[in-house]
Amino acid sequence: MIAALAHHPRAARQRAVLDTVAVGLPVVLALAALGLRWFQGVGAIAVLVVGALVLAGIAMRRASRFDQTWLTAALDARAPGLEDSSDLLFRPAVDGLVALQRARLEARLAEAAAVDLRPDWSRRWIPWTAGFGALVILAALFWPPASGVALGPEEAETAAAPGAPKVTNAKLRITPPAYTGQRPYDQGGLDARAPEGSRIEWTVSFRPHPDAASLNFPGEASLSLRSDGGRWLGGRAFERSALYRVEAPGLARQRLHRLEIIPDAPPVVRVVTPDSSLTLIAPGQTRWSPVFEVRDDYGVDGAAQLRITVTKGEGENITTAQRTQPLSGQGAGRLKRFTAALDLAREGLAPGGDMIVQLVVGDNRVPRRHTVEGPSVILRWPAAMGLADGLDGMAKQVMPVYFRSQRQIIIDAEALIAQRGKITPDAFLSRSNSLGADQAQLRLRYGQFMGEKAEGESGGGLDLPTNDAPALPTDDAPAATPAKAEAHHDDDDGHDHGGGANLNDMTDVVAKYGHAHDTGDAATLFDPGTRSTLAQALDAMWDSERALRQGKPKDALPHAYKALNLLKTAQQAGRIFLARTPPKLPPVDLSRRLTGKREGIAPGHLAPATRDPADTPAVEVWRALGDRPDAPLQLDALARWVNANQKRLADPLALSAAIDTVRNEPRCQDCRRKLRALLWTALERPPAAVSRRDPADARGRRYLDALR
Amino acid sequence: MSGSLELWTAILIAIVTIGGIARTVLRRRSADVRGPAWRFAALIALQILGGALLHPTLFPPSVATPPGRLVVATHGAKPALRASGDVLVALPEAGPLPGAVRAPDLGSALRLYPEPGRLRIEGDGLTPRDQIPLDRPAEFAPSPAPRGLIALTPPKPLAPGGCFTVAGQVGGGGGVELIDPAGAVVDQAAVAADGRFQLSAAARAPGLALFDLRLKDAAGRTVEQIEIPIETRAQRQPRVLVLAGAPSAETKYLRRWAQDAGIALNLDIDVGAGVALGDPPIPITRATLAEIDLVVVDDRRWESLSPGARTALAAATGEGLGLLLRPTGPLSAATRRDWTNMGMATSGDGEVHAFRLDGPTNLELSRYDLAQAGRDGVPMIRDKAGAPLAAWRPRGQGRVGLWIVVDSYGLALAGHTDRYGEMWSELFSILARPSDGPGVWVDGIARLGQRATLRGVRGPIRVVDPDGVESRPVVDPAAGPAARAAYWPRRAGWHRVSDGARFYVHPADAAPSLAWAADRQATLDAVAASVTRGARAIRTAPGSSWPWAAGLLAVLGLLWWLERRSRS
Repeated sequence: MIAALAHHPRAARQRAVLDTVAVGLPVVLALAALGLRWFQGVGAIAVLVVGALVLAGIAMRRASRFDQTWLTAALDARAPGLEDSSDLLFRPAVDGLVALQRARLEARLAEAAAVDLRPDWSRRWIPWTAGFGALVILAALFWPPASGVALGPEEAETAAAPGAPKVTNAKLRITPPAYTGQRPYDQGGLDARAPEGSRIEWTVSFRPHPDAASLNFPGEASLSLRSDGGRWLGGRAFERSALYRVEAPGLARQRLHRLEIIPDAPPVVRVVTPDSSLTLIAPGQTRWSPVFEVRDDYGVDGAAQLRITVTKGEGENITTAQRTQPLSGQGAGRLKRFTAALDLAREGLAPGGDMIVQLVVGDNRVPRRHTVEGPSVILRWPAAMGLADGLDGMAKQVMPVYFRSQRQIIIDAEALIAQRGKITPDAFLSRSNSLGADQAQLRLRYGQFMGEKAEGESGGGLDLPTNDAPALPTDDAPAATPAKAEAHHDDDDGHDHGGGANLNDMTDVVAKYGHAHDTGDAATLFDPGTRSTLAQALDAMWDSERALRQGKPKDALPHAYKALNLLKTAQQAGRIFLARTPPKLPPVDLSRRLTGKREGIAPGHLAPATRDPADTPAVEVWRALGDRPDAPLQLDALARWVNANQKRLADPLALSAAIDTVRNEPRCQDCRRKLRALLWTALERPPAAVSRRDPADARGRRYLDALR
Repeated sequence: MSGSLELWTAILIAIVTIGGIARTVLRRRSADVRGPAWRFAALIALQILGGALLHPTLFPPSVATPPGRLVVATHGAKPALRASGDVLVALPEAGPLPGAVRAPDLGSALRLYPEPGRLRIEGDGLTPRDQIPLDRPAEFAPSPAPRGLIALTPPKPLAPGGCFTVAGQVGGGGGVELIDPAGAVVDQAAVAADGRFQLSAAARAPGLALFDLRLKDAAGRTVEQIEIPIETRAQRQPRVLVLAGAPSAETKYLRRWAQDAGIALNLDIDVGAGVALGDPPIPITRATLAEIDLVVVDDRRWESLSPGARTALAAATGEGLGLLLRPTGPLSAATRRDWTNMGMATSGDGEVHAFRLDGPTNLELSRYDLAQAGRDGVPMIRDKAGAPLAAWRPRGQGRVGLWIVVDSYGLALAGHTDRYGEMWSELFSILARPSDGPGVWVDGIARLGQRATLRGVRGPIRVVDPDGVESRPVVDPAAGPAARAAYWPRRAGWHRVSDGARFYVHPADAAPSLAWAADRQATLDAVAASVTRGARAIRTAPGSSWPWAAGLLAVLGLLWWLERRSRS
């Protein structure tokens, strides 16, 4: 070959190789990135090696085309000066005309050498493969990890000893209970949120394969995993939130992971109509249909109970009747409406009565459903409307009782004696008799105070209903709170208010007309002296009445005077003594009394209203965490404190997990910061103390003194 | 000195010149052939001229302010067309500027270029390194004002459970948020029209905490952020004596709060006729009052105090005791007069009006229609409408306050015990006798790599940085009683001072606009001061000798030539 043309095939081959690399390298790199993503470093290296081999083969094949034949053809095509006879240049020996032509050609070799015979770049393919390769590489490197691949930075931080197993993959399958209607779902990572009662199944992969693996729940039984192929499986149902950690022989101590269990919320009852809890009956209303709306997080039980309470009566004489009626709801599973149709007459609602309805409904939780009682709605039929309806005749006229006093009887009797000669004996007798009736009324009146039984039709015995009378059947069950206030007398007093069985006993009189809340012996309405005086007065009245009834007012007068005197005596002595119900006062120190000396009297400290500052462990750890990066921490005391204050803390689980992490990784500054932040939320604000102002310096003091 | 040298030189030159003239005259007289008269006259004149030129050659006269300016580019300076004669100097913070001479600091630049008579500063302003007195009239062409934080008042150390307020100003609008150490937003506010804002939050247990202040723009993006260091210190609580004329709910809840907060409160109720309730009474004398930090007295008890007790109270107040006057109804004329004598003149009729407190507790309380009459009182706690509920006034070393709320216990009853405590804590904090000493504190905001001024330094101190490295700042003896020391922080974080105080060093890049605004203000101040300084000292530069020397040479040459002509 002629040396001047030798560079042409070389350059062409070079161009072919470069062109192949330019087209193929992005593809190989993209595949290598995918290999790195899916099969780690090994995959990438394998793809690179194979790709390089394939690329080299293609390049060699493409380069091998550029031989002498190609050169002569190309020169003929591209260098017109060679006059289509470039092959002459490569002939080993020529003569004659051919030699002449060859000589001519050789003279034009410079032109031929200058021609660029390199094949063109693959202008279409290079941008396409480069762009595609870049896209794939970016996606492979930065696509967010699919579920269950990355376990967060913490696993990366815990340096594993060489050869020790490492968690490479973890996946959770969460199967919510059937009643929730949720489908099972998979979740990557080891932290999870799941509905209450869900079954959680773990699939954990380790590399290298450990001999055993388990999940350790601090404070609970641990769950051992079973091996299935290269993975470890296990599962359990959870009712409460928990923290756990993956454990395996040789596995570096893992951080606590968190299973947050979302508890099933009880259903919420809302009254749609009526819009207020108390409605008054409309004139002419015969039906009432309250509507309730019930909402639950998973589903409302279709069958509910309507509790209907109807009250009758007025004032203190109220009876109630209660019944329940099943209701079925309409609507979707989570939101149901319950409509009650109540016939007022059938329910027995009368004027002056109330009808109280309450919906008792449950949700579909299994095994134990939440049952809630909704708000009560009251329909009231005011008594005044009953009067308006022409029921006037039912109103009872109550008149005060009038009777003469003892003094009036004496005056009347004396007047009668004075008129004796002027009126007929019959009129005299009848007037005397009526005076005797008055005297009897008066005697009975006083006799009531003495506990005597009412007699005759004009007894005038007071028969008012009282709080204490057990005769009235009241059913306190539906209206719990107000009834309890009344009912406690019967239940809790420890004494019997009596119903009239022991009328001779003074304490029963007290029980009937008064309200003594103490022992029977101590509570005497009348002292014994007054009692005997009154008894004598009653005797005298009886004598006076007997004489009057017999038409002998003159005989009646001494008895009447005696009764009057005794009554006045009783009136003057008539103090009612009630037993003291004292606070427990300390005994009086008579040596100090009235001296005005206060020495030795220590001011009583108020009982601490706020909690004892028992969050000392939290404060101490919080302070130590802020002090130095390596300060020693009282983590055990803090963990105990968290356990003791679980109810009060907003997120005790997170705090426990942070404590555990700090305990296991004392050098992790981020963990310490996180624990400190969580502790800040757990600290209670103490009562605001006083911060003292700064003192003035000498110049300031002089200024202040000069101001005066 | 130089003046006298100049004078003597002038005299010497004059003598020599006169001598020369005399010699010329003598030679002409003694000469046989007299030259022309004009040559003689020229010789005389040239000698005088030579003498006259020799003096300014030796002592060239000063020239007035030369034209041209020294343009100093600071951070943020934009390349612009310069006037002719301007010298452009770029400080290290400035970006690349064409044609600028780099200078390590402003002092070097001023020494390097003493000639330009005026100074022009461009950009964001001089950094603390360059905040030196300017030696010539200067002007400042500032870049646009920063949009972020431009002023911030960090809270002082506070007592456990106390409330702190972060106040500041921003250059733009938007909103600010205060974020507690757990990452929750505890207070937020929109920035007022003048850029000011005020946020408050409560401290908890004693210790160190870092709150975050975030400035957000209208779209809710964080513009700037700075840490707010909060030091909660358990302090010695004041000893308080409450003198009351009758037991009331107010005294009851006050006692409750004081006990919970650890305040030694002595409640002394004298209901008259020799009947005393509460704690054992303390005799009110100067000696006993010296042991007490604050006295709370109501008007009923004031009226029943003996004249001796009142005198003791007045004297003790002058020595530092706090006195809180608490009306319980319309004041009698005598009490008003007494209180005016104590420095608390009151106006208003004492009627009871309703008011509401600001903040989340929208509770209606009542107050007496009484106000501090003088203009020199300091209002303290304000209601929703901004009317003060308390005021105080200094009286000697002590303070006298007036508290006109009738039923602050209503807060405690309604469940706002914390608000109740805050209010009384503020009252007691301001009025009570001062503490022994605050310890060392930092002036403003300490930043990494910038000089921090430690104030309130008493005696030698040591500062321990977060790495545990100890340093001993030297106290400036010239600072007098307000002793201060300089400290260059090498680490960001909490520093401990040997007297127990703590201070926080912010990272160098915390809230850059705050430093920017400070530099800008300092530059404006320096420029304002330089105008008067420049006017006072007329700038003269020492002139050049060369023109005079050339003139002298020419004169001497002519003289020499004339003399040679006269010889020959």
